[in-house]
Amino acid sequence: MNGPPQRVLVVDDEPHILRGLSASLNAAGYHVTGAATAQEALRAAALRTPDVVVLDLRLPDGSGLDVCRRLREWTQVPVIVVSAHDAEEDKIAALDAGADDYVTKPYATGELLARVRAVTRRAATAPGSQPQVSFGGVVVDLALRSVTRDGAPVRLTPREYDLLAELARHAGRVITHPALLRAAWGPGYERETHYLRVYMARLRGKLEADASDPRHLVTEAGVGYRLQLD
Amino acid sequence: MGLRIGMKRPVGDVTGTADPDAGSAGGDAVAAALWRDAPLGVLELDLHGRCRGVNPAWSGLTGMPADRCTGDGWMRCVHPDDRALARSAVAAAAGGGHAGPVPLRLVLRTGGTRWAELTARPAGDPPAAPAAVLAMLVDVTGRVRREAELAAIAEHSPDAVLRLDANRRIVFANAAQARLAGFPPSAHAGRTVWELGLPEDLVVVLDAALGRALRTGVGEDLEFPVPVGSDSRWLHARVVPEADGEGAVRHVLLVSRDVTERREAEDALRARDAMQSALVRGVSHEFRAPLAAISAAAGALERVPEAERRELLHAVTEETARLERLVANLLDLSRLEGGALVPRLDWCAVDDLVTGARRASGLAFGPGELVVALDAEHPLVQADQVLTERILSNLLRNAVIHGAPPVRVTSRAGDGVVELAVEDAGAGLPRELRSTAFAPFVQGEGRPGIGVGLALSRGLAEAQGGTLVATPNPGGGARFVLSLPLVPVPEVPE
Repeated sequence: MNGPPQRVLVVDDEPHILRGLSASLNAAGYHVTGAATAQEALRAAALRTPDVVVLDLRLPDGSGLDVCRRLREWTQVPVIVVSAHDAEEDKIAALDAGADDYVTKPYATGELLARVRAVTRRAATAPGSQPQVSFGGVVVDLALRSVTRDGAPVRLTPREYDLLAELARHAGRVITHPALLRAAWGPGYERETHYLRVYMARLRGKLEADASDPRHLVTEAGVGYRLQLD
Repeated sequence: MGLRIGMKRPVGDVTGTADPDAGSAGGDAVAAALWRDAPLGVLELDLHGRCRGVNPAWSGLTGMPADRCTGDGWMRCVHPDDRALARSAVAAAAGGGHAGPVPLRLVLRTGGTRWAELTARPAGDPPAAPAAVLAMLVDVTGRVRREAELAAIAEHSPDAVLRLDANRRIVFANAAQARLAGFPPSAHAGRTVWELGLPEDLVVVLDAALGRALRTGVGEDLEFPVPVGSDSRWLHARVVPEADGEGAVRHVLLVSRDVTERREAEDALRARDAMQSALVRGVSHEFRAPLAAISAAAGALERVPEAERRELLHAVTEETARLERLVANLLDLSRLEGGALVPRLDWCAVDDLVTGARRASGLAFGPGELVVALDAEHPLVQADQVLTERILSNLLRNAVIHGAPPVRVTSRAGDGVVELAVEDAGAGLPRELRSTAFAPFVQGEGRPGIGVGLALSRGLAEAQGGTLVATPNPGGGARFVLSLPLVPVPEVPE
């Protein structure tokens, strides 16, 4: 994407992490603003209108979750939260609070950059506005409700399609188990995780090159699933 | 107090220790002096038990003047319940025998009660055909009261109390002692410690301590295990020499307390201390290697040519990842031990678990180096996905670091469990490590690795209601089996 450099607000109270991340993001062509507290983060978000926020959930003056909720009161800026090692509940809470994605600390810089790229690209196109979503030779046409693989039509049951379509509409984002179950089966099925396990195995069998090593229909342990486009 | 017979002849035991030929005027004078001044109450009776006279000490002791004691009068100062005892003692002496000391109560004219010991002896020559009876009273009120107090205190003491006499025979046992020994206090009386059913080697030590206490007046503390039923309890015993009023040690107390719980707590604390210092040693050791590598690489970065920097940076990244895994494992271990790690059980696909574990392990397997063969009939298990991936990831890393490829991951259902096995084609787990491999920081000789991986993995398995064991591998390499409860999968509608 050309034009002026995109602005990233990084919220972390560790100066060394701020410095390291800023260096990496700068090198990748982003303009970085740092904030060390929840207060600073909210102020910086209002003043600098960043294109993406990287938000540590643990802040000295409050929870990053609250920052996320406060941001969502007035902006749709993509938010990537950084959560501690295996705090799945925190990740789910952050997604519920409006976060777009999360990374788990400690993370590789390359992984975070990929997430930043993904959410900024998505932000440029409103969710669901693209009629077609493509990955690994598969094309999901959300307008025609059809799926092809390498040009040939793929037969999906209505539920399989509903599940895939929900993931495709939010391609790149993690969708939690309850959200997927609601989308494909309706309200009241939010706890039937085994439906998802069975149906995702079938979708992988029909759409993945190697169902035992899925590249696109990715399990996010303890949280949900993500459709990975590239 | 006119007493004749007693004065004219050597009087039984009262002067009996003197030379038998000393039945002289000198002997009479001594007997008279004793009659008048001894602190012993003396009563002279005829062979029918009628009083002929009492000495001043008797009147002093009972408060009854001599003239009121004559005939059966003296009996009035004996407690009604104890009169039969007194009579039979006197009768025994009248028959030529020795009676007493018999403990009995005296009723004072002032209304109180005192304890006395009555000893009755035949008087006159020959003793087998006595002419009279001498009854002697010693005031033992103080001693009896002390003993009663001691018994009352000891009876309700939570400690087991035994009181033994100078011959190391039991004269008192309290309720706690009875519970400990398994037979009633009364059954203790007269026994020695040899007759309490204790192990012989213990009794040798105990009896020696009792003997020393009686001999030297010095007590000691002992601690030993005793069999109680099918159980074994630890006792702490205090041997307490009991000095009487004159400072002589005629009794010894053996006070025992069950200290099993304290000892067990101490043992647990010691074991915990040992484990914690092993943990700290292990952790320090584990941290030192990657830190040294990072420090060396960082120090070299400024000095080496551009071309070599990439390799150094790679080392920094690798070693950092190693530190991160170590910290994550340690954090989980402490959360697990602190009960802060609560598994979130949900349906998981076994193939997802294996894929997730392989990715989390950070290992790159070449073609054919990882073989996954899963039971298609049982694709789902109830587990915490994140924790189970961590277990499998630890096992995969173990297989690669300590074993050799190919690494095989298989699943199998049966006997109420789903088993996930990770095995490698290396040399296998050394026999000496089979039982200790799951303790934190145990590693094979000269092997690298995360010293908490297996300990943590087993903890994570057990927290989810599963198990993790090392099993023999016919193929030769190490084989670890994670078993999770087999839960029937509810129907999934089309």
